[in-house]
Amino acid sequence: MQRYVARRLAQAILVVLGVSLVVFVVIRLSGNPAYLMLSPNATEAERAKLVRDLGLDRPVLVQYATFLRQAVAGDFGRSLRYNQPALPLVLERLPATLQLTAAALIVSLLIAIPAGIAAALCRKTVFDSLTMLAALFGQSMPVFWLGIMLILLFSVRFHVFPTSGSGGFEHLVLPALTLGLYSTARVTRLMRAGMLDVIGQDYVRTAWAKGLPGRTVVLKHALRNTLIPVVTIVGLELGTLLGGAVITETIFAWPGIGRLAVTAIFQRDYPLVQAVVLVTALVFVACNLVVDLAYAWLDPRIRFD
Amino acid sequence: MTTRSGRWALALLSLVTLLALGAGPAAARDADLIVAQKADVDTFDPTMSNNTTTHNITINLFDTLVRLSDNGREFVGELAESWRVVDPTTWQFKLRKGVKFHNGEDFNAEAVKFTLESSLAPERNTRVRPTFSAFKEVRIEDPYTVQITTQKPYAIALAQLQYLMIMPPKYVQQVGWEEFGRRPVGTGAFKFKEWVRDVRVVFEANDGYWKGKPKVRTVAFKPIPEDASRIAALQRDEVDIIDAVPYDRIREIEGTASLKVSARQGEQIYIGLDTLRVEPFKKREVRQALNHAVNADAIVKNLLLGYAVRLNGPFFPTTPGYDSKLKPYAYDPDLAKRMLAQAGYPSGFEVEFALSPTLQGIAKGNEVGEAIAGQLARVGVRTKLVVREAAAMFDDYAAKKLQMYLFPWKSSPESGRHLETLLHSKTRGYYYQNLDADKLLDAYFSALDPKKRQAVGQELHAYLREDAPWIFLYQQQDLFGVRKAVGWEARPDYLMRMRDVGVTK
Repeated sequence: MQRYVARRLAQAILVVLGVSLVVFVVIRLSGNPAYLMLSPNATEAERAKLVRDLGLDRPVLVQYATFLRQAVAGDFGRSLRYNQPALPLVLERLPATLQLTAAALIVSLLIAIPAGIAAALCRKTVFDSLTMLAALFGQSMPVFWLGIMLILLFSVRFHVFPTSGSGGFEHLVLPALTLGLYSTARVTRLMRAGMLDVIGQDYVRTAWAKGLPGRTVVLKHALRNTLIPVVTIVGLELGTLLGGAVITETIFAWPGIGRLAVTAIFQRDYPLVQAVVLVTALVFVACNLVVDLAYAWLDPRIRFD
Repeated sequence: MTTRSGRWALALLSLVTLLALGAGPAAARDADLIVAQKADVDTFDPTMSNNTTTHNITINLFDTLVRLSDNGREFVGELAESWRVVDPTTWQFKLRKGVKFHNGEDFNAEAVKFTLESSLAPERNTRVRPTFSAFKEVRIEDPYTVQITTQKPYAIALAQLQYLMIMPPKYVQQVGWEEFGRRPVGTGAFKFKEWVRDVRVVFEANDGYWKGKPKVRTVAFKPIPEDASRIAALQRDEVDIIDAVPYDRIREIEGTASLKVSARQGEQIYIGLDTLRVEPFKKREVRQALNHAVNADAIVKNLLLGYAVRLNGPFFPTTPGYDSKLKPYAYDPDLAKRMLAQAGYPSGFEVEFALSPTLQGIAKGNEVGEAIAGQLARVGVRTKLVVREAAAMFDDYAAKKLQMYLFPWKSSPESGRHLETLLHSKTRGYYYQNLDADKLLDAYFSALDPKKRQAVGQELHAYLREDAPWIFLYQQQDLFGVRKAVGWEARPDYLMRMRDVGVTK
């Protein structure tokens, strides 16, 4: 088990390194921040001076080496736009993103698991078809469209929730719904398929034959065996959710790292983009590791030695 | 089993309870007056940001020596009570006495010297350095008189100084620049109260303000990046003023009884032509023909719903020397075709036309670009549209790779500095170099006497219109959504000053 964790951590470091290199190079290929930073009257000489002072005139790999050396020491450079160290800027926004992602995940599981079970049990009924239709709809809706529709309906038309911003719980509801519904659709379908698979198995039939109450058969015997693929997909969904948070946070003016990333990219704020991506990659890798470890807990047959 | 389903039930119950709790009335307001802009403040250190959104916020904390009058043409004193030109490169300013910074520090000549010098200090790499690069030094005559010198005779000194927000030397030296960028102290109408990054900035009234205390006790600035969400917040009265209303939402805001649209002069939109490398564009007749081929009036009317002013050259209407008697190029495709034929292009030519939808400031950039491409095709100029992201477009621009490009220009129309920056061969000279224009430009920027500047300006305006380095289009208007209960109108100097703004309940 310990060896497994150590190996996974080593892999994680490789992944994070790879991600950082790709981002480092790609953002530098896509345009220089000097124009966006200086007032429009800047002369060629002033621009060149800024580029030099930021060290952007050196070869990309040399810049990357410097970046790695400093990053190991915890120094991710200074944000060009905010003129402050980049890492604290990211870390202070991380809780907001984690809060939103967790809320979205809860929303999606709370809806998806009961809905998936119910659809499987009522297979080939109107309820089943309607659930699957809703799931199809949920997966096809673009996040930004859904977000704006929710604002128009629940904020502008009926004054139930604030349009955007953060602070109280009421601010969290619409963004969490927006972000969660997409995953809900996917998890519902998976839950239904898994359940259908399991309830045809011998041990479930045996459980019914023993005369166990339906609740016990479904929740204890069937559900537990359906959960493994669901946990896998939930782990992957976390990535989708973190990615979806970029759009959701922008629509709802939610002060998380997704929105920070968007502004940083448009401003070509290299150090800040790098810090955001690294932190996100770390969170993602950590989630995946937790998911893998959860298998062992869910299915005693799985061992990592 | 029971415990697990029990936990589920509890989770569900608490969620429902929380939902019910959230379903209260509209959230409490953070301040008497709330402004929502696209972005948050970058930093409160005014020398470290070159961003209108940020300046809109900081102008309420800091004062400047002079400000632009409401008509957008003259300058009036703020922290400077009066000024005079001592010699062609020296300006003397008499400063207002008895003004204090929010921390009690006195405003005086020392503060002016400190502010300008730290804006120019090479080691600080300030973002506003290019704005003030023509200034040399500040000499203190007495505690309330300063002399500001310029590198060369500089007609637009006041127009540049209107952006110099005066900072407190003692406070900055005491806390350092970084802390100053987080907890600013100025002489302005409002004092810094709170900044929750990406959520809100809150200021409270400075009751000791030298012009009298503001009408509201607190003002908040909130960043709401998404247009639709910002408009929704205004419609629901969560905020009082929003910036950057997209053109296709104007009618909706105008149609709401409690809201109005307030407009101010915005970016000049033009199409730059590479007159140095693209063969056809080297010929003045071709450039003029293109100006006749584009129907800018139709674009203003149909795409921008009339919220733009057609321009007759590279001058803004408020730029000194603007000649309203000059006619814009008339839309006349037949004439354009004949001129192209005379210039040796009877069947037109092919050219790349660069656009950037993410370039801040161009309203409906893609639609405008496509409309123009269609109009040019009618006279035989076949454009290949190249769409780029803003930063990439700037890189190509500086690398002189563009052939023809749709660009905005905003900053400081009252100074006309864009003419020097964009068209003088000694400044950028990327796409246009013309010694005759240089001479006129030099005369224009060294004419300290406003009358003389006006006269030289008219000559320059006529010359550039004729020489047509660009396809001249229009000046957009910047649109704001405002609750009618709020007494605020957009101002021509691009800054959102909140001191005189009241809210009727």
